[in-house]
Amino acid sequence: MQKNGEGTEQRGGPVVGILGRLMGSALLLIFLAAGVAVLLLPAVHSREFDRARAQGMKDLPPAPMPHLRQGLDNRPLITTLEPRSGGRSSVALPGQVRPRARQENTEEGR
Amino acid sequence: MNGPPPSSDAVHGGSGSSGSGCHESPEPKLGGASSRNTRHGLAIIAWLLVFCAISYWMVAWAHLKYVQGVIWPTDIYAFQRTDFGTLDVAIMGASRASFGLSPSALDQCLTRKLGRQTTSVNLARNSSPIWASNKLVHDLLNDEKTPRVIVLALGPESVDETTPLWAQLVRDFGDLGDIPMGLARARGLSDLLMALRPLVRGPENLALFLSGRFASDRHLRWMMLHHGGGQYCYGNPQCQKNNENISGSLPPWGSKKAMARMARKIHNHFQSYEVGTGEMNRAMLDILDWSQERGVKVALVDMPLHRIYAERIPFQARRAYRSYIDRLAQEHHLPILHSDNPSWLDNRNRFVDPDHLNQTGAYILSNAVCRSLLTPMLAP
Repeated sequence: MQKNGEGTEQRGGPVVGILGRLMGSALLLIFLAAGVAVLLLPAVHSREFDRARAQGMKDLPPAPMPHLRQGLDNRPLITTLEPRSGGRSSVALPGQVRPRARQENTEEGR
Repeated sequence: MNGPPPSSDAVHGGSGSSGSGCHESPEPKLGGASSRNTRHGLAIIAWLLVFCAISYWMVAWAHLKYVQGVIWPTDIYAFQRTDFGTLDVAIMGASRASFGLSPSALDQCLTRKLGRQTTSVNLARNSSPIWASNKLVHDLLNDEKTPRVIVLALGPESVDETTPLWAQLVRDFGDLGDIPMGLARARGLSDLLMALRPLVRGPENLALFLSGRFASDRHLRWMMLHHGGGQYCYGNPQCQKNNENISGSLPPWGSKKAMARMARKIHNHFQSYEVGTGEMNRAMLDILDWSQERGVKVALVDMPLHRIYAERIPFQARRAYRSYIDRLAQEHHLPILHSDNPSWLDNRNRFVDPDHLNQTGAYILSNAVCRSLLTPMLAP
């Protein structure tokens, strides 16, 4: 006579046991794999970074991630585009090239 | 776990039903099953803690403490894994430092002034007061990565003992030993959970590391590998494009909505203000001790704020901050650069928002720091 879950335990026991062992083994394997990756990957990355630095920059930098604004002051990302006020600076920065199109929009440009 | 199968009595007991009607289930056996369940529960918790502890130490050993979900504004992992040679300057601070001090501009200026190539890095982290900078100095700048000069980029918030960010700081920079402090200063459930975060840093950072999430911001990696970090670089078209991308990513700051948000942010931060009395001050002194032991020089930069930001900070707080950093500079013979003058306060063309510089402002400030502070400190 089976009462109050006794039968459940007897029927599910072996299955649960096997599943438990499988999950335990899988977790152990994942943990070991993580350990190996933590041992190996940083060295691989070091070589990759040193090589990239030695080669110098070749590509244009990709645009910053959209979370830039969130990171700046922990505010939600603002996507509203509003006209930027304030004039351009007269300080000449190294490598700076003023776009011709913008000059054309000024009185001097016309 | 591999013991004999439980008796039917124990199973009856485990069901928790006192009315099972089974006469072979006396009270002691009920208690035995219950305690067996308790033991199993505790064992699971214990194994979980063991797993967290092992992965915590594994992450610390592998220098993966700062591999986080959002790595803005500094790719610290790339800094740790790259051979920069001898470092001349390391900039520590928060987002204002990331925007306002460019290693690229510093190196160009220092190379001209000193007649040799220099290497500067910007290790600023978002919302990082001096307590966080102290953690970063100890975690990142040891051994071959010890710089000749550390530049501490400061603002009134950087040294505030009553900062509302304590729990967040423990979450992002703290170690297990900092958890009690984070819990003691928690101001709600969210803070409590943040203060406990170092407990799960191991599994969390392992997952982030293995998923490659930490490497997803190519802009930050490019900046760190080729320009020493920070947001702006100078001297070539790629940098010009990068700087325009940065400015284009940020919304304008003149709208009423943005101003109201800024005012609220300042109000929340400066409801109370205290300097020189607690953990922040200890962290500052700890950095100075650390530097002295290693022969590293320290310079202070009071980061520029636009007037509409600076004047919303309560006068008492501004005065206490100014007095604190001046006293610190005097007592420890630290060179300091102040920026609370009209050329910064009233010059909107140098800011990307009321407390962060744009590429022009960063270039001017970096050159001022180079000329007034770093050139004399690095000169042979």
